[in-house]
Amino acid sequence: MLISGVCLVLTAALAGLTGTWSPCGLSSVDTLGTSLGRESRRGRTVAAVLAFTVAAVAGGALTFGAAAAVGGAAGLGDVTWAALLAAAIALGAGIGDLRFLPIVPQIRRQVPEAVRWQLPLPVTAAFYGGLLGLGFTTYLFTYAMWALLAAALLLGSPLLGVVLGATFGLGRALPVVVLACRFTAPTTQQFIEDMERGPALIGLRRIDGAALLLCALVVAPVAIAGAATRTSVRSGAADPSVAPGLLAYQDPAGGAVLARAGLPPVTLPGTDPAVAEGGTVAWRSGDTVTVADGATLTPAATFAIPGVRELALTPDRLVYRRTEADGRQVVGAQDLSGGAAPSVLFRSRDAIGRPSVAGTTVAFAVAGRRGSRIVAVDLLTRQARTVRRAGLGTQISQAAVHGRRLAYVSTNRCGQELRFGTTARPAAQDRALLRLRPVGSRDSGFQRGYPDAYNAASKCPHRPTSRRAGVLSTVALSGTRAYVTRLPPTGTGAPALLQVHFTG
Amino acid sequence: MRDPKRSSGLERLAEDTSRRGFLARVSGVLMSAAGAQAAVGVVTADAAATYTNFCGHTYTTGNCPHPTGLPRIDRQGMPLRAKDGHRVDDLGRPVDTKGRPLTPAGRLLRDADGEPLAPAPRTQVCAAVAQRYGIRTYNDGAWYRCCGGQVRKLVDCCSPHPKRINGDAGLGGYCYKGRKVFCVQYRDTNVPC
Repeated sequence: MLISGVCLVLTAALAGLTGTWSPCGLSSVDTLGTSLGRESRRGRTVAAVLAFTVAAVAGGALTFGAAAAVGGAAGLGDVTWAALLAAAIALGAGIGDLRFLPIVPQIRRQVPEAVRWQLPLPVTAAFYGGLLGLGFTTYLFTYAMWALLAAALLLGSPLLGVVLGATFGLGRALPVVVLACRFTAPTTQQFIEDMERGPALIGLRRIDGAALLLCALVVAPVAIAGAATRTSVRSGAADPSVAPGLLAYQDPAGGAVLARAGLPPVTLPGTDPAVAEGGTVAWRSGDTVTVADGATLTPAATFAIPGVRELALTPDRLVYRRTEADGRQVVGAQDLSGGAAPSVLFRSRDAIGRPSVAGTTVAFAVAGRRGSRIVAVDLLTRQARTVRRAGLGTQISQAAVHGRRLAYVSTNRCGQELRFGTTARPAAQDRALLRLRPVGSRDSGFQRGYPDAYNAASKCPHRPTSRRAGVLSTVALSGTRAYVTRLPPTGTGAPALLQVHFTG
Repeated sequence: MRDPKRSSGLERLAEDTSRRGFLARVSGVLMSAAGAQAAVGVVTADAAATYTNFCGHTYTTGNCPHPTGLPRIDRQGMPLRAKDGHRVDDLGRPVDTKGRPLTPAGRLLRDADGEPLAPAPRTQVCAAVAQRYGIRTYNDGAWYRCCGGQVRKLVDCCSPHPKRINGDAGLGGYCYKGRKVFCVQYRDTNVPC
């Protein structure tokens, strides 16, 4: 996503640069250049140049940001076909620019000439800059503007849209400013004259076209790969734990199961299994936790932990959730060597989800009637920090970490999502790997026999297309797959383990 | 005021011929004489066709966002499932008095280990609107109508904000102190009508 974003932003700068040679761009150079040449006060000159630049950047940010906001509100950002359509449009536009085809649709409008005579220079500069930055209000000399606008809409990322637009505006403004500031220099006049002859402009458009083709080639595979692609289901399985070559899960009918690459699955003598890199496996029997070698199942250590429920494992530490006598829940850690006393990492009266551990980071969801969040605790320092907090009307109930990657279950009145991101980036950049219908049944929002009107704001804008019902529960994460338990919606019947393949 | 679904041909015939119909006509005459024809206009059967989204709701203000759809609330303004009046949390799950989610059969919803699922917040519908839209809201005045054989209380979620949930200018409705109706909700009473 970062690569495609960089490609689009660079193309936006090139598109802006090409736009300099439109009637409006050249008129702006002339207006600013001749005025600046006569201007004796330096402050006014600087004001005009700044106004032109700022307005162009703001205009671009407004156009592209608005398109991206509309796309984001329509939920296009998570849709593979939308990204593929953006790539296809970029491809077509690139071919159009490479072949120097006439711009269609063309905006046959110019910045109003009269303003040049009627308003002070800084105001005129701001007005012209704003119109040039907006992009769609004056003549276009490259298909890239339309292709980039479509990309902003279809990729649905407001941040990308604003950056694209600001860069486009900057690309349109800087050549004008530079040429205007040196307008009277013979070299400048010669340069403008050379550009006006045409061949150089054809070259600029071809560069735009090549950049668009490159973006199309970058965006399409990223879109395909970035989407949660394939989902498979393992019935009668729940509470997954995953490590390289190992998958452990709970079979409600027959206890814990350990699946090893190339070997038949084995049933473990306990429940709530967890696996770690290096092939270690742990399970629980009552309040006793056994840690064993995953290949031979030979116990390496046992620990008595009153109230222990769910486990997570690293090669040298056991992490667990237990319930205290007063109902409070505790996340604790135990050194597998047994040399150190167990430590309490977190304690809460709210419900704590199953812990997950990666390196020295333990992550888990804390959910209650006052709200929910994901807490990450450092095993070494025992410092806890909130890495995700549920917004209004949303609950985060489960979390899993793998390196800095984070997967979690987020639920609101409109649906359930298995979301994916990293602890290093804000929640706004997380994406949905899987969507399910709401946990509660929703009615139509209007009473049968009465007209449905004026009611859009209270409805769910993006209903999940999945027909699958159920309640998303415990999560596990590996480098390429996310596993999530789907509980039956009625509370009876077997759970299932959904496996979502992803890249990115 | 009657539910339009109950305004069948038989019922209209009964209104024309029965003691109830006679009283209704007398009532209408008296209220007209008192200069209250406008009020009668609001509560006659003909106006029922002007209800939008749900029985009893006149005019054009949209429903308040609600966990399960139709904006049914309880006495405290908390969300209830419209079809059966069961309390629901902010996620739309039916819950018990402790906020724990329930199965359709009314049992505790449990995870694969048999532990009850975590409760979620349960927020007053009008208060949730305040948080969602960043405005102040109040459950102000109300109006009662007869819907489906029982009295329904139409409750306005009011705000000093000049606009309503539809995005255009709000109406006064039953709001106090110059506030406008931001969105609408209702509570079904147990009073037959």
